[in-house]
Amino acid sequence: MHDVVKTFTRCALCPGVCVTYCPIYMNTHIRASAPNNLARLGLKYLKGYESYDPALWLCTGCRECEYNCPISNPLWNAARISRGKKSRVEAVKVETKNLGGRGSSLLVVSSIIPDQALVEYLKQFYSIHWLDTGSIYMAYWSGSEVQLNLDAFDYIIIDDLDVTPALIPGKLKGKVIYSIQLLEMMGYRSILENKAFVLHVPCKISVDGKELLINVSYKVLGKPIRTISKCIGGGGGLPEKHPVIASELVHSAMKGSRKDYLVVTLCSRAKTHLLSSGYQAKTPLDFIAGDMN
Amino acid sequence: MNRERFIEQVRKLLGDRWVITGAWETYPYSRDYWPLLVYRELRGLEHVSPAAVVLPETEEEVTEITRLAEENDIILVPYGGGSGVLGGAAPESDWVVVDLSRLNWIRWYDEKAGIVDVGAGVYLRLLEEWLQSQGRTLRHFPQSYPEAVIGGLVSTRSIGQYSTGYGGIEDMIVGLNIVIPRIGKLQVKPVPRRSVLLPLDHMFIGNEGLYGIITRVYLSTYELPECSEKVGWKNESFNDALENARIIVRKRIHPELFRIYDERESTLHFGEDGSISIGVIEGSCRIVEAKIEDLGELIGKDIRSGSSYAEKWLDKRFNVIEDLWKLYEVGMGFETIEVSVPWGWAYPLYTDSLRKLDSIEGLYFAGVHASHFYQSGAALYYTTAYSLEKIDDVYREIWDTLMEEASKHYGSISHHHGIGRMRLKYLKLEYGEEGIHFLRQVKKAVDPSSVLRDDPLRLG
Repeated sequence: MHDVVKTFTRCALCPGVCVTYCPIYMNTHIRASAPNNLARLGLKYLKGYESYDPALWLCTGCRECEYNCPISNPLWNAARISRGKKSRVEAVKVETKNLGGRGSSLLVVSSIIPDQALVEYLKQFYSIHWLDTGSIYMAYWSGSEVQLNLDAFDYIIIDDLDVTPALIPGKLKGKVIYSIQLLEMMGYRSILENKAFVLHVPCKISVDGKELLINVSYKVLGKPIRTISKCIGGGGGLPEKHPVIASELVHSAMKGSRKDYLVVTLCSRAKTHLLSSGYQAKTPLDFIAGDMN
Repeated sequence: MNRERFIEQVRKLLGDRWVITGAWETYPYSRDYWPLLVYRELRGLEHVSPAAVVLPETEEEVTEITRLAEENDIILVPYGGGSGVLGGAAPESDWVVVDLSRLNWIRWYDEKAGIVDVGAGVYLRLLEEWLQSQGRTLRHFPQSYPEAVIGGLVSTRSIGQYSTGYGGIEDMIVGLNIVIPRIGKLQVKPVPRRSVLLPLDHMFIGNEGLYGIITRVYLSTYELPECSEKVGWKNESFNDALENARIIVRKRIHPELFRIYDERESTLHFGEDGSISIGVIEGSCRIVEAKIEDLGELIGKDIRSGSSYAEKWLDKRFNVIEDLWKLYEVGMGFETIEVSVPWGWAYPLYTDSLRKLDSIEGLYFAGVHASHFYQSGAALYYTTAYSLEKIDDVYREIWDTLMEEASKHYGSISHHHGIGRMRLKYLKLEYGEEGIHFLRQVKKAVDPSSVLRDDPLRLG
């Protein structure tokens, strides 16, 4: 069980070694979002300052603070759990939808229902299930834990990285395939060669993971005109609780990229945020469905 | 005071987004990194938030805000990175904080001269990264490197870990702009050196937001060193380490980064007896080699063989939280106090002050290192750990002891942390009545309405 008071206290004791890595603070100048200050507000919130609740939502869970912390303090998780002032962590049981097929079971984790053509294609080899991450998104980012028996699936395709920390404990690493890796396995190569596109590798991936996925993406898609591997403000409940800030973050991250450029993002949650902010966006699964435009 | 009118006027000037009055938004400004406030907060004490926070984007906006503040009888306090350790940025409940984080430009003023033009709100870490991408470096690495901003560093007359080689922030400043309430924006153009009556830029380095708000700084930068070598060695005692340091600095063969630890801190940091010295020597490869040879000969040791001490320290040099947390878990607080002293009084100050510190009830550890050296003396840096149960008494006693001892031994009460709130009552030890009178008179001349806080001068 995560000791949220301990996590907050560690950050509140720190001068803020990680503050320049926080995308929200650096983009918005909102001092409350700087990790050490967010922790101070978190402690007060837990002591009864309920009006401080909006501060706890100034975090997308990008984990930059944790990755750049000398003691790897998971502030993002303490903020997440504390939202809604939970005295205990509630578990949310998750249902998956059986889309048919046969053979080894394959779970598609996405906030967007997989395209029918893709499902038909995959059904030739696998028994397909879909976890609609949209159904657990706000529950998870409001502090609940997700209960899902992942052992029941032989393969898991991740198309929504926003809830990855909730679903993918280290022991499952062997059966997890990111959607861009699925394209690689299926033999897709340079499918956007000579097209102007932007690649977005979500912030919630570790530094090593980012490097791997960027390399795979280059192989599958071709060389983008730009690769963005930082937070665009599309997850963690930020767009729902602080829409203006979420919008500022995406425009800041995309600064210098024309709106008519296609953005290929490895996360369906980010795709939704990009689309609602006026950008053209696709995830790798869209390409399997045959849409190469 | 007409706070509502002031806030309304500043809203018109900056836009609603950049004027903050909400409780959770203003609370972060209720303290800086003064340990007394940090621990009190964790023990449940409520700090006061400022009445409002304003975030100007331009120097002209800062100037207009000071004008409006005077018109409405408002007290302003500038806020940089919040990394000050003495409470200088902590506001009263009716003050308005001027957050400088939007003054965040970095650009060359004169690339050939290596002079960079930096907004006061630029984070030092980001500036150094930008400079290194251009093949240059500021070589200013205080422990607050990750979280401090340029305006704050200049306002407190900061110093960095490589100071023995490169000097303090004052040695890097070649010009600056400062907004002074009755004067407006004072612009001191960047030049290598000047001799024109009072040095108007250097007068305001270390002013801690009492006389003006620093908005722009021109900094002189260095080329990245060609070679960098770590060295280390053990001295018989801290007295020997100090004497070695004095000779090394006198002969000008000192490492650019140079630190010596007393026996207590050597045991704590390196797990070894004796008094350890570490250094990083930088420059052209031939000069570095020559320095290592000279230094080794003087010390009588293979100083490269002790490089692991330096490596160990470099690995953890910005990691304060690990030790702070370990202490906090067992009910202990942490405080560091720095003073400077001429060579002749360094060791007597060391022994006398430690003897007195050791007798303080509730103080569990006191150790010393020196990490900034000059031809004339050194800075002594005290590290203490004490019972949080007794924080109010122990804390004051530690401070009273060290300030009195530093003064008695002809030292300065502050080497680089500044005055803030904690050192107010010791100001007289430094400058005497006449000095404080002078500071008050200057304040009266440039800020007669006390738009910028004047409490240090009232209480000093």
